[in-house]
Amino acid sequence: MSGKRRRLWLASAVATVATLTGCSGQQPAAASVATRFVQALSSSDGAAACDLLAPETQSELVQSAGKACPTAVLEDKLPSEGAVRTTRTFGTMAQVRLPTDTLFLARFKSGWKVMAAGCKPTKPEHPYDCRLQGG
Amino acid sequence: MRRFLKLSSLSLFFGVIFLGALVGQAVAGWKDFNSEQLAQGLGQLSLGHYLVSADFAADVTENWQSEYLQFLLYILATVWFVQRGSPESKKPDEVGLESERDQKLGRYVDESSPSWARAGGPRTAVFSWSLSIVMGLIFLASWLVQSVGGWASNNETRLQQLQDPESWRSYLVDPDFWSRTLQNWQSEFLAVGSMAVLSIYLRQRGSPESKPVGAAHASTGVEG
Repeated sequence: MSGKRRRLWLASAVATVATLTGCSGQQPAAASVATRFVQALSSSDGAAACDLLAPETQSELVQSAGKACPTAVLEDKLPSEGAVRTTRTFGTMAQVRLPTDTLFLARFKSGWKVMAAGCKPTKPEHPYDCRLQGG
Repeated sequence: MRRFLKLSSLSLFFGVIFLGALVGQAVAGWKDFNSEQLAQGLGQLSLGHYLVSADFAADVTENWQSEYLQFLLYILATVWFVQRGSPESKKPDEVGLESERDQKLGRYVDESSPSWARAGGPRTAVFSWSLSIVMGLIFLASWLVQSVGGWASNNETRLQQLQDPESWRSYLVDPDFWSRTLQNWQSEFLAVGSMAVLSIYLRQRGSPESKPVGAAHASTGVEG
């Protein structure tokens, strides 16, 4: 096998694994939505934060708080500082870790949306305990 | 052309029904995936995105690996194991790799023998095992893709459940990986084992996989 063919083969193998694992160029998008969400909270822009919430999460928030989303999301006192440390993407889901928070994002036709925020780990293998989540 | 179609009808028949079933699986799997996503308030995938998703890759390759393993084991097991009365089995006195005369090797090759069988040395040694080698490589490749696809798909589910994703190495000992693997293996082993036994007593007239209808139940290695 020539060097060029070997490189092509390697590139296709990497592309296949990247596609299967959902790592093909989606990490910056999920991380960038998480960053925009945190920035909206830190600048007290509730409307911008709500635009980045998944539909189920938004309706759950409105229902439980009994207030409009832009007000309720700011009252939830979610952590709103720090840059993205790690992003892990698998298919239609992503986990973004910040210094003081972990966010779970889901991919919709309109792009990545925050499904859960203000999440703290509980026990190993158990779900995170999230202040804001859908469903 | 008609002659080609007639002489390759078995391969063509299975090729066509394979593609039909794969297309059916893709469409049904895509609708099922989107239905589950919808129920959880999550985003939908287009058919194109579903076809390159981990979910589809794992679903397809978990069946491929088990089929290739089944035939690999059958090819190898029938070298050394016998089943009295089965047309799938050799006669008890033929077990093993057989002589050069039986296998048309060495000084028993003729003009119609493949060049690698006539070559002798490592080339003939590889050719003598080439069917098992290729079936084994396809099995391993499919199982590897299943493990990567299943890992990514399982992690997608874990993130939906607000759990941390796990590493690929952890997934290799995860119940999800072994449940997907063993549920396929057990069905393949059952099917091939029961065919070996049922063909002792039952017949399919005209099939080379069956003994002739009038052959005795006790006759072994006789194909119709």
